[in-house]
Amino acid sequence: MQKEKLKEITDLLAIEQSDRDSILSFDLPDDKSEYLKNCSHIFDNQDFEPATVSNSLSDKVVDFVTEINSKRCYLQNGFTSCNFENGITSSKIYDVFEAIANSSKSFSLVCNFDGSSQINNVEVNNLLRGVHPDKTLFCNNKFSVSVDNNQKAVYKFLTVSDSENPACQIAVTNIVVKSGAKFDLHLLNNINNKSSFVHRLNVTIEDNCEVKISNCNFNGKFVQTILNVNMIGEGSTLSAPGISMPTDNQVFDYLSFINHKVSNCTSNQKIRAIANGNGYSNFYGLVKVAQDAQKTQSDQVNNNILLSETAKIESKPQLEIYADDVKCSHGSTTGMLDSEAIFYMRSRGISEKAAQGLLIQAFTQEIVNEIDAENYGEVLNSLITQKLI
Amino acid sequence: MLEIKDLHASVEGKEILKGINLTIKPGEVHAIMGPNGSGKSTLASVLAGNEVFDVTSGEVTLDGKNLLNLKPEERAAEGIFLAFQYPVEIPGVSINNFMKTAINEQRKYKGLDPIPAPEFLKLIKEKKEFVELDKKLDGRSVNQGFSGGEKKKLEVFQMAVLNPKIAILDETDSGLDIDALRIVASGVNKLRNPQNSFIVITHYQRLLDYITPDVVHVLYNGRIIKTGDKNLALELENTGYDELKKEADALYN
Repeated sequence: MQKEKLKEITDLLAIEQSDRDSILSFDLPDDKSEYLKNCSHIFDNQDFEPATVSNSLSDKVVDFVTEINSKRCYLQNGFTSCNFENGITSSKIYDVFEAIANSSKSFSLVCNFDGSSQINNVEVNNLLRGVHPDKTLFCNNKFSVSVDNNQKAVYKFLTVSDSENPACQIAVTNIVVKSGAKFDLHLLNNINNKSSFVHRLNVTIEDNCEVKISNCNFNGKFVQTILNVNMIGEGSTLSAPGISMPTDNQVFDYLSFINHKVSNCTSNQKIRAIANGNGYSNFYGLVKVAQDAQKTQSDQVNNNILLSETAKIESKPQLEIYADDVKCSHGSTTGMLDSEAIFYMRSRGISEKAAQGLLIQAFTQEIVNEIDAENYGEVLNSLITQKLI
Repeated sequence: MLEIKDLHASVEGKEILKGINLTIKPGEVHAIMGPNGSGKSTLASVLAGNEVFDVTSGEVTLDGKNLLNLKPEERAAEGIFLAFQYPVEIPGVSINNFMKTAINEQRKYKGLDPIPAPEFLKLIKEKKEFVELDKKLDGRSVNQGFSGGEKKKLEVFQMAVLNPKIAILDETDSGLDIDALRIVASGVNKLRNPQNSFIVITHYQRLLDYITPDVVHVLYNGRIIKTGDKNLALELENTGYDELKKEADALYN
């Protein structure tokens, strides 16, 4: 159902064939019925319109600037907010970014960390700004990031909205991390409750790389992250921490596929979700260890907390191992907050709400520590606190 | 100060407390003894406001204020403190953060501003020394990975920091070796003053060698069946509860 709807949307907006394939080619979990029931309504009965862009940047975007010394690229509805005439094919925004508009409807942003500039820390402020209260603004984007041999880079992709109008973005990010490089990618999704964001990431990791991919979901009607990682070079490590906090009727969906194709690589996924209200969180994670990928070490753990009777969490951690000398683990837990701990804290004068807050912050803090990006922990903690109020 | 009148409480429909009457004046230490299953810990939990128990009738007032309408956190701010028999581990919440939140929530209840940081640090340092809390526990999560003795010391530490009007010690002596017992008891003794009171719940006379009670009550089958001075505890150590139990059974059944 969802796939058909997506196809319809992409047809409608005449997205390039290659992008369309990329968006549609993700595999849904085997047991689709329940899963689709939760996702399909997202795209039903929506009247879409193509993205437009206005020049002003809102204060809210500026709030999200987390690094003082980083280079920023502001996108509004998928376009850079500098004047952009139809027909312009390429525009240098900053030293490391290159923006390419293929048509008025499709836009790509390329970011190369090749060592030619001194810049190794960038932020994309991806602002979704719906224009009409009852027409969903639609944008489709393609992003590319490459990190050259032995380079070190941090790339933050912060998706936010500053209006209450509906918007929908479908984005594909292709990332190549080359030999010996160190790359941190931080995804943050905090859009309004009428907007959706579907983001597929294809990540290729060569040898001896150190890669971190964090994914934090705070607000949005439907936020789906599809992470597809291919580890094709030996001696690389991947860590993928994540936090999801759906409330109200929010649906946050995280599908991850980690392919260990060669030996001596490590991957470590720690995903935590806290669902409240009618919130729904899904984690579907598959780690595949190929026959040649001996000495692979892989850990995947998904811990979840339900705060209400009506919140819903689904979790499916999976391992497929074809090699015989590997160390892999996976697991999942879902539960309520410890009522004894809550009473203990209340007996010290801490209100029930504050006690819950302390426990949830303790639960998320481990992940925030692992994400460990300069000045970013405070941003995450303040969003976590906001979700608890 | 604390007035308990005909207090009845039950859990899952089963009546545990069957009419407790108790008056505690400022500066007094009351010991509550009794065999297993007599309702001692239930009384402690009910006073602290544990919602697992249903209070079916009776009243509890602190300085004239009805406690039974208050939430556990409100009771704490009014000056009730429960030292748990089994202190709960709270992973990821540091002792300092926990104490700071507790102090500030209590201050908020009283309409006060949050405690200034230097004042807080001074208070914490002073009280840690007071209960001889090991420095290696600094920065650790509340009770996590603590030995039985360390957990009980942390309870006394919290009591010292929060400075309650009524402190209820629920079998604080259980699981303690003699050194830890001495430290816990001396902590309690140092906190004793004419304005505050203690309810010490214990199985054994041992703790009362260190903390001298003004009044000793024997709780059995949800009722206080005997009240006396500190000598009652000594007597019980020799005779056991059997005689008292027989008398009580004859009286109430």
